[in-house]
Amino acid sequence: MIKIDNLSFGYSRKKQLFMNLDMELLEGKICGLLGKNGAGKTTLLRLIAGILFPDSGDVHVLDTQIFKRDPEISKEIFYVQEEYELPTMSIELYMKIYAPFYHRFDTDKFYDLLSKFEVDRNAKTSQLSYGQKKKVHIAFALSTGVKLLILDEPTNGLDIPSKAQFRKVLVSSVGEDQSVVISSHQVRDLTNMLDQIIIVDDGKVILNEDVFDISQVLNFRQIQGANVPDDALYSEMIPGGHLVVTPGVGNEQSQIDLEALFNAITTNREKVQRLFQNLKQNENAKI
Amino acid sequence: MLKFNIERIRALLVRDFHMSFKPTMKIIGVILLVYYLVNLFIAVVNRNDTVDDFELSPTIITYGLFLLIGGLIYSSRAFREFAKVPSRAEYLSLPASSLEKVLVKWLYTGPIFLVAFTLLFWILASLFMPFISDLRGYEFSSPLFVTIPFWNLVGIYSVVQTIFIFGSITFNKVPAVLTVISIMLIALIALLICAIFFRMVWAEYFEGLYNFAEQSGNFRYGDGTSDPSEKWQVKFFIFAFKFLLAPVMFVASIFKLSEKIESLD
Repeated sequence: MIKIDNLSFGYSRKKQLFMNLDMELLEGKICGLLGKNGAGKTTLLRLIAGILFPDSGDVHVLDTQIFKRDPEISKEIFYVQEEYELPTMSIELYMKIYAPFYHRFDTDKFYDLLSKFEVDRNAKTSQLSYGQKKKVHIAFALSTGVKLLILDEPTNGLDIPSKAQFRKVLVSSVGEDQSVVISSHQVRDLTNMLDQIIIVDDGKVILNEDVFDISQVLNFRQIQGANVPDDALYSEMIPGGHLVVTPGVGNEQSQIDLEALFNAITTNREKVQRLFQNLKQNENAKI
Repeated sequence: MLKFNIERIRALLVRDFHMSFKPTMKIIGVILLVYYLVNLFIAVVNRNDTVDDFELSPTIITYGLFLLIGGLIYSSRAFREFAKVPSRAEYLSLPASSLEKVLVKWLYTGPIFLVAFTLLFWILASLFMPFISDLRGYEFSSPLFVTIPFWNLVGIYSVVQTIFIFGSITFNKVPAVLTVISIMLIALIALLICAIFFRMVWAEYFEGLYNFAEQSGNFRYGDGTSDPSEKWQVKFFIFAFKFLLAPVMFVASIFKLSEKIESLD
């Protein structure tokens, strides 16, 4: 679905944001793109959407170089930006204007999602709050039926019930041939909805793994007291004990804590990466 | 970049009609209405202060001013999506080729605008001008559609408008001002180049860098040269302005839009 080869990009020649970045995203996955502030998450999404051009390297989306902006490919991509002002008009007119660009747009689904998000379909965009506008934009994006949905900080501005609703709606709306890339710094908002996790740091992809593999390779658990295991890759104090990330044992799987995962890989990058390499070597050996 | 699909053109036409053309025509309509109401008021107040017939109809002068100022501002804002980063990103990711996007913007700021604006102006002028001219004591005649100055204005607008569309893609902020400044800079550079060539070709007639040398005998500047308008260079320049500039700017706009990125500024 997305293949990035040897990508380099920087807003100025002196400071490169990405250097020789490689990344791959398979079809039918919901992928979380995580990174620190300023790590280049939004820039990477814009490079994938084809609205920024790499300094060198290639970005292929649906087997096409995305910077060519082929309309046949663009109609299979929808990019929900973090900051986007809906034009001042009724929601119905907005849909009538933009839906014809996406040949699989589902009007019934759009209205259904609006009601799930509790947004009045007859309202004008000027009457909506920031969060409601965001919901309209997300509902529209999910109704387009595009093969690649790019969501940049989609939960920003959503209230707590809407965040839960968003997770539910996204997971239930995405078809098998669709892929979603979500960037967020509010990692808890993405809990239990991702198939793949990509973490970028210092212009490189430091983790690009399937959730199943992560939960097998790493163990996330809470322990009472102060006895943090020696092999802990990351630990943090929580009331009554510690949250620790340790290497996984056998085929046992644990519930991933995205925040702890992010901190573990950024503080103990080499060790964590080695664990994933070992897993792949073992799998290859079995084959 | 050059893909063409009638469904996408239709979708872009609908989008731009609601997002840009309709609001612009509303604003221009209101401004014209206010202009004629003010003129009517002035004519009523000064009804005894009559004026002689004009050499050029006031209607065509007003039409020309509104067309060139209003139309060129509208053309310079054709790609107004580029003024803000999010709307720029949204427009660039819209599934349509550069050719389709430029074509639709050109249609709305060119032919469609000309027809809509002229009709609107003609209706308002026909409503107000007979009263105003009667009060001010001059004869009213509608010069739209039937006079040479009208078609000259339409021709000039059709060419210059494409420069402003190109400016609209090139400059994200205040495109009208920056386009005018760019045109002036290009004109200045062209003038300097002409001056340098002139100085080089006619070097023998100069004394120092830019002072003309005194000539003896019956010498007069311009003697023995033909009328400039007869020269093929001047003829080509006029031909290029009339028939080549607009298509060249149209093609340049397509290339410029294809290179446009969602930069941070």
